[in-house]
Amino acid sequence: MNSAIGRLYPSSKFCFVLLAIIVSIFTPGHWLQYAMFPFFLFLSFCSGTGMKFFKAFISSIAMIVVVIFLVQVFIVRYPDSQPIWGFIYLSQNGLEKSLGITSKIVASASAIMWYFQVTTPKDMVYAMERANWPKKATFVVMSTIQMVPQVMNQAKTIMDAQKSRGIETEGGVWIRLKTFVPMLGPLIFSLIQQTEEHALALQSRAFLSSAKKTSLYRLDKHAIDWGIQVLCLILFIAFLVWRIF
Amino acid sequence: MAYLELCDVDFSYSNGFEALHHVSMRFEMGEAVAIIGQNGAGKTTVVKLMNGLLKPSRGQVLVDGVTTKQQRTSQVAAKVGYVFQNPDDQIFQDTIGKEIAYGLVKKKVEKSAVKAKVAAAARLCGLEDEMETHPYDLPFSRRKFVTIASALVMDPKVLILDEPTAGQDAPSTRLLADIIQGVMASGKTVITITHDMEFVTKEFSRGIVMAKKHVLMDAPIAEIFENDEVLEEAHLKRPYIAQLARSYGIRGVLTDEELLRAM
Ligand SMILES: Nc1ncnc2c1ncn2[C@@H]1O[C@H](COP(=O)(O)OP(=O)(O)OP(=O)(O)O)[C@@H](O)[C@H]1O
Ligand SMILES: [Mg+2]
Repeated sequence: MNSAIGRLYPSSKFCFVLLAIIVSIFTPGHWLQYAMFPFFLFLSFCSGTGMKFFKAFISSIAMIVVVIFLVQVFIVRYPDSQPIWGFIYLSQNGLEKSLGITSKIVASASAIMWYFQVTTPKDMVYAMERANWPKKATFVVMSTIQMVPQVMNQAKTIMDAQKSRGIETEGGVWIRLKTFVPMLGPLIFSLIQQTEEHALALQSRAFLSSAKKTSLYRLDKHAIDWGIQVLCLILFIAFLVWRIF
Repeated sequence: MAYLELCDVDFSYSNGFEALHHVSMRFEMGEAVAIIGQNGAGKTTVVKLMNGLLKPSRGQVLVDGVTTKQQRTSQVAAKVGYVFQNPDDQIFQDTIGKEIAYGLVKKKVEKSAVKAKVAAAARLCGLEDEMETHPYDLPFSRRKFVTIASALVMDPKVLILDEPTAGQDAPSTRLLADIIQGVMASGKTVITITHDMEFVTKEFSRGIVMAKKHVLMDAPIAEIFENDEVLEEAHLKRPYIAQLARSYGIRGVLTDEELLRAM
């Protein structure tokens, strides 16, 4: 996050991500879309989050992509499906279809993942506030973004609490499931409670006051930010022109 | 042989931060030991290693002669009970009775036995009238006793309390002292982390001073409070009585009675 890319203004990066997603969705074929992955991987290495990006991608998106391929190519039936064995069929149509779906998923997910890895929540809040977003909207967006790491931490803490009382949480899928399910209730309860307390704390600091806030934290839009945003806009118009005419 | 032993242990957190470096200590059964030291010295980390929640990066932690690396946390925890520094990290049932009983119920202990054990632990921790209360309806200081009761009820050989004195008033601190004495009297070991030096001098005979990932000193409490260098390095203060006594030039005094005798 301390890289040159990390310090860009959030909306510059966001414009770029938005452009990448729009182009990926509305361009026919799948090579451009697949190329977005190495492209964002490269950007991630430039931003110092390369390994993190790669690991997150492999453990989430890559899995989904593989599953879609397997299901579409071997299981879903198309007119050209060739029986192979039992309920397994082979289909060229399925292959094409999954290339179409997965390439778009890969492209959009790469862009979004990169954005959240190189932009701190602090910067996002700052940018939203400066752009005069409604304050409640800012709070909702931030609580949602922070929810995932919060849930992970909370889950780990409750697991530790169970372990330290001599309760088995390590082992096979069944044991994990048996310990995980009963803790969902308290987990969600405590998250709601935390968010409520968070909201109270903010209220007590004049969160909804209509006065203009000053911020100790500063993040300026530099020439490069304007440059990126204008460039994105031009590229977007060029893309529209190309796709429509 | 010591029941619980750390042999030359290093520990680093997953973010690469090294929290302990070359730490060794050993505990016999029937001891009451206080671990003292500045915030961030590594006290919580060291006790989580004893309880198997963390496994050493280097060196061994032996519980009852077996290294914790070869055991699951739940196995180690049955012998070494740990009460978390923050009770809210530990409480997740909706009544205090259920919270205390949770571990026993999960271990499929017989119902009537659970009831008896829970009642006994609750009485010991002054919670007998709160069994149906929601844990979060009690103040933080009493929630801590809920977690102590849920650890006591599992009947571990070693009980570790992480800063039980924080935020407790005088009666609660006395209750805590009674609990510690009671556990010791049944031949078990109590290890307590605390910043309350009065509590340390009153309730413990042995102390371990930690500072910056290391054990600085492991000695009888009286010796620790005589050692100016160690106290300074660990940023510890003597109990108020000892400070007062010293300002009158009287050394070797830790309690009111000792001061009276010396005067
Ligand atoms: N999960 C973690 N990941 C990374 N670093 C950690 C983690 N937990 C603790 N630390 C760091 O390890 C060091 C020792 O922490 P520890 O909690 O053992 O200190 P402590 O002596 O218990 O302090 P306190 O008196 O504040 O409870 C601290 O510098 C802390 O920031
Ligand atoms: Mg601690």
